[in-house]
Amino acid sequence: MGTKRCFALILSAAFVTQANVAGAETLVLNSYGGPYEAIIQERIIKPFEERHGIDVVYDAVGSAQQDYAKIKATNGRPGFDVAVMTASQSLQGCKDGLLEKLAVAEIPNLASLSPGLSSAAGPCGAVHEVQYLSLLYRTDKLTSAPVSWADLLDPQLTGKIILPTFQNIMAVYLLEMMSLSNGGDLIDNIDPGFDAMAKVSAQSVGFEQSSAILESYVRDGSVWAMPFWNGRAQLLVDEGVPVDYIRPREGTIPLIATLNIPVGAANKDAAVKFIDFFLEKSSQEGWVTGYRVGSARTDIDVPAELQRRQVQSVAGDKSLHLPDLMLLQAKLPEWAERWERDVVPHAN
Amino acid sequence: MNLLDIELVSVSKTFANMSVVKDINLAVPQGEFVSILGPSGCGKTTTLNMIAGFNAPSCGDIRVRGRSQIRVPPERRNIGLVFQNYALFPHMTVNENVAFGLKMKGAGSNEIALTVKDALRSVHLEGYGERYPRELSGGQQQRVALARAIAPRPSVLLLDEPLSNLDLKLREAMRIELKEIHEQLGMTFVYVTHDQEEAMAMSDRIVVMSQGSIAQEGTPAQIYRDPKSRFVADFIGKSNILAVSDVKPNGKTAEIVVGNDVRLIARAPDDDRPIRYCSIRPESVSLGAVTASGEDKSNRINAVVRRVINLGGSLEVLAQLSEELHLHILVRSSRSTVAPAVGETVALGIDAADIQTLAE
Amino acid sequence: MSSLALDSSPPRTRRRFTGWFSYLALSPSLVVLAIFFALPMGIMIGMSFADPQTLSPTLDNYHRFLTDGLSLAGFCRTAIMSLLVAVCVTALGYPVAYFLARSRTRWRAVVFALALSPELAGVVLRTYGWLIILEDRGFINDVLLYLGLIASPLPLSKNLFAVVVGLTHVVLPFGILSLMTSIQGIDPNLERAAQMLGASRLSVIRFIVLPLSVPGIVSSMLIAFTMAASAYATPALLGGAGFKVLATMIYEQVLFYINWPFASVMAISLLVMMLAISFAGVRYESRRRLRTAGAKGDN
Repeated sequence: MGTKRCFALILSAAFVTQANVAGAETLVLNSYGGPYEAIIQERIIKPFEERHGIDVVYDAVGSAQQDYAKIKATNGRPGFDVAVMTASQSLQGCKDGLLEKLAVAEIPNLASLSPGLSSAAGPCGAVHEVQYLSLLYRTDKLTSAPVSWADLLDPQLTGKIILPTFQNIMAVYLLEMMSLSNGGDLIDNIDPGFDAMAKVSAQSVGFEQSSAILESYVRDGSVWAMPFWNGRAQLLVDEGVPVDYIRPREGTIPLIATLNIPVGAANKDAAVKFIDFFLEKSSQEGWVTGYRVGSARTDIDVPAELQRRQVQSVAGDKSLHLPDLMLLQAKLPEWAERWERDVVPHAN
Repeated sequence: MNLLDIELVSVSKTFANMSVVKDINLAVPQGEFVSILGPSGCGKTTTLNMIAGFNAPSCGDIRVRGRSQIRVPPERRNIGLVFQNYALFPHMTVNENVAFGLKMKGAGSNEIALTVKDALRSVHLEGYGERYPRELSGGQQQRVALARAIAPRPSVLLLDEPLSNLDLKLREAMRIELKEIHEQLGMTFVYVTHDQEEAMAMSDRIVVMSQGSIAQEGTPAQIYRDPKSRFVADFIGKSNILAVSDVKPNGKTAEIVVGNDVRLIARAPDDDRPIRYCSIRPESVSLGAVTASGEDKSNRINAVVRRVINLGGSLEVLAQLSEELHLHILVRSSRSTVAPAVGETVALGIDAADIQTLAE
Repeated sequence: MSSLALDSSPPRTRRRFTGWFSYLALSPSLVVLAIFFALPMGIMIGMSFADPQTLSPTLDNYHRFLTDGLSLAGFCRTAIMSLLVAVCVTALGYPVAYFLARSRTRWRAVVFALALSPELAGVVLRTYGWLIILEDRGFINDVLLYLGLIASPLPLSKNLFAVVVGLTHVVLPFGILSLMTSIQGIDPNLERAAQMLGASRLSVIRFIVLPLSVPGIVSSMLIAFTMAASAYATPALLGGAGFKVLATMIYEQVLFYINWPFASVMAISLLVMMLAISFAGVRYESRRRLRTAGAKGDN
C-alpha cells in the first residue's frame, strides 16, 4: 500500500475512534462569557458531564438576539444544540418555526416550573432563570439609597451614570419603566418614556454594549448608579465592591431567560437531557446560589436572604410588569430609530 | 594672477574599508577646460560628487576660489552640474527648467526672463521655451540641461559624461558646441568622461585617473606624446607596449633591448627609475626605411607582414619582429600606396623620439 | 551548409498561449470570483429590493434609506470620517515615506520596522489600546486631571476624533508603503539637480518631489479612504453609540434587527461611495499623467 493510502486510513481510523471513545457524545452549548461561564461550568456543566458522560463544548460568543440572528440566518442549523436566550427569542423562534417545541414527555422537569413564567416563554423555551432590572448604586458615593427610577435624574448623579446601548435589552426595559413611571405604559403609550430617557441621557457619560464594560465603570467609581440585572449586581456585592441594588418603588420588568433547541440541532437527545438536568431541583438550587438569580421552580430551597431579593413568580408579584413580548419585538425597530434621534444625542 | 577656481588638496574617499579615491591633488585655474579621464571604477565620478558636495571627502580639503567647501552643502556651493541622463524636471517647461536656479536665488521675474532667453540662445534653442522635456530629442535635452546649469552663473561647471547617451554624429557635433560655449562664457569646466577622444578633443588639460589616483596630467599633446605609464600609453590612443630587458642611456637617447635580441634606439628616460617597457605609437612606424622628407629614421628593422587590413584611408598592418614580438602599424594610404603582401618582409623605420621608455 | 531541421514548435507553443488557452488558464480565478464575489453581490442587490418580512419586491428599503434622516446622516458621517483619515494618513505618512525612500543610513531599517510592525498586533488590539488612552478615565485624561490642567475629562473618545485617530493609526502603514513606492519611482538625480541649482531640502521637496509624487498621493488617499470607509472594529469600539458609521449600522441591521434587505441597501450605498471616490481619483490621475510623462528624467 502506498504511503498516502496508509496515511488516509490511519486518519479515518483516528476520527472513528475519536467519535466512539467510551461512547462519548458531544453537546454544543451557546451561552455567555464572563462570570456566567465560570459559574455554569462549575455548577451545571461538570455535574452534567459526569452524570451523562456527554462532552459539552462551550461557545460564549453572542448576545441572545445575536444568537437568534444566527439561528435565523442558518434556517435553524446554527451549529449549536442548546442556546441560552430569553423569552422574547423563544416566542419569536416558535412563531418562525426555528425552535423545537419542548414537551414534558422528554423534559419532565418542565412540569415543575411556575405556569405563569412558563407561559411567558411559550412552548419553545424552558425557563431556567429569572432576573429583573435593578438600580445599582455605589453605597460610598451616594448620601442615601435611591428608591425610584426618577432618582437617576438627581442632580448629584449628573455625569455619574452610564446607559446600555439600545441593542442591550436593559435599555428597552429602562425605557418602558420610565414610561410607566411617567404616566405612559409599557408598549402603546411610550412617549413619556422617551421624554424621560432624553433627560436621563443628559445625565449619562455615554452608552456601552456589554455588561462587563458597564460593570467596570461602577467598579472604578466613575459611575455612581446605573440599571443592571440583579443577579450580576448581587455578584458584585458578594465580591465586596461598595455597591448595592434596589427594586425601585415603581416596580421593574423581569428578564425571563430560557434554554432553547434550534430545529436543526445535531444532537437533540443530548440537548433535552441537558435542559432536563438544568431544571432539576438540585441544579436549580446550585444555579440560584451560584449566579444569584431567581428560579422558575416553585419548590426549591433557597437561603432566606437570597430569596428576598429574587423573583419567585410573576403572577403574584405586583412590582413586576411583564410586557407582551411579541408586541415588544415588533416595536423594536421603530423605537430604535427614535432612540437614535431623541436619546443618544443628549449624552455627554 | 591666476585665481584657482578649484583645488583638491590631498583628497581621499573611503567607502566601508574600500579606498575609492587615494590622495588626489588637483589645481584648476580659472577658465580652464579640464577633463578627468579614466575607465569605470577609477574614482572620477566619486571625485566629481565630492566637488559637487554629494559626498564628503574622508580626508583632505576641497576649495572653490580659495574657500573651503567641506561644510558647505551642495545648494550653497554655486557650482553647476550637467548630468549624464540630463535630469530635466519633467513637470516643468524648458523655460521653467532653465529659470529654476535663478528662482532659487530669488532673482526678479524680469531678470529671470532675460537670463533664460540668453541661456537658450547660447545653446541654440531659442523658441523652445514652452516645450516640455519629453517633447525634445536627446541632443536638445542635453542643451537644455546645459542652459539650466549655466543660467545662474555658477563659478564652475561640472559635467558628468554628458554626451555618453548620444549617438556618434551628435556627440561629435556637441563636442564642438560645448567647446564654443566654454570659450564664450569663460567659465571653468570640469568634464568627467571615459571617452579619451572626447577628452583629447575638448580639454585644455587632461587628468587621467586610475584606481583612485591620478596617473598623469597634462595637455592632450603631452599626454599623448609622453605617457608616463603603460596604463596611460594604452588608455590614450593605441600603442605598442614592448617589454624592455636592457637599457643603456646615452645622452638624449638610450639603447634598449626588446624581446630577446631586438635593439632599438629610444628616447632617454625622464628620471632614474628602472625602465621596464617602451611604447611605440602605430602611426609613428613607417613602412620603408626612408621618411617622407627623405631622412633616415633612427631605427631600421626588418619584419614579416602577418596581417593587412585596409581601412580605406589607412592601412593596419601587423608585423612580426621576432618570434614573440609583434608591432601594430598604422599607415596613411593614398591612391599610390601599395599594400604589402602577407608574408612579405618589409623594412620598418621608427624615430628614436617616437619610442617612449616607461618605468611602469 | 547543412539544412538545419528547424524545430517549429516554439512558434506553435507561443500561439497556444493566446486565444482559448488563456481563458482556460484564467478560469480558476474566474470561477472563484464568480462564486465568492459576483454571486453574493447579485444576491445582495436582489435582497435590497425585497420586503424584510414577505420578501416581495419593493422600493421601500431605498425610500427609507433616503428619507429616515438617520441613514443619510450615517452616510455623510462615514464619508467625512474617511476623508479626514485619508488626509491625516497622507500628511503624516509623507515625511516617513520620503525618509524611507531616500535614506541610506541604518536608521532606515529601524524606521521601516517601526512603521510596519504595528500591523502585527492586529486591529482590535491596537484599537483597544487607543480606547485606554483616550477614554474619559483613560491615560490622557488621567494625566491632565492629575496635573490640574482640566477640571473634567476631555471628550476624546466615542466621537469623530477618536475614530479618526484610531483609523489613521491602523491605515498609516499602508499609506506609507504606497507613498514610499511612488517616491522611489522619482529619479533621485532630479533632486540632486535641484540642489545644484541652489534649492534647499525643503525647496527640493516643494518644487520637485511633491509635484512628481502626486499620483502616489492620490493612490494613498484612495487606499486610506476605502480602508476607513469599510472599517468595522475601530469605529465600533472608538465611536460607540454616539458615532455610528455605515459599517456599524449594517452590522446592527444584520445581527440585531435581522433586517437583511435594509442592511443590503446600506451596503450598496457604501459601495457606491467607494466606487465614486475611486473613479474620481483615477480620472484625476489619468489627466495628470498626460502632463508628467517621463518622470524618470530620461526620454
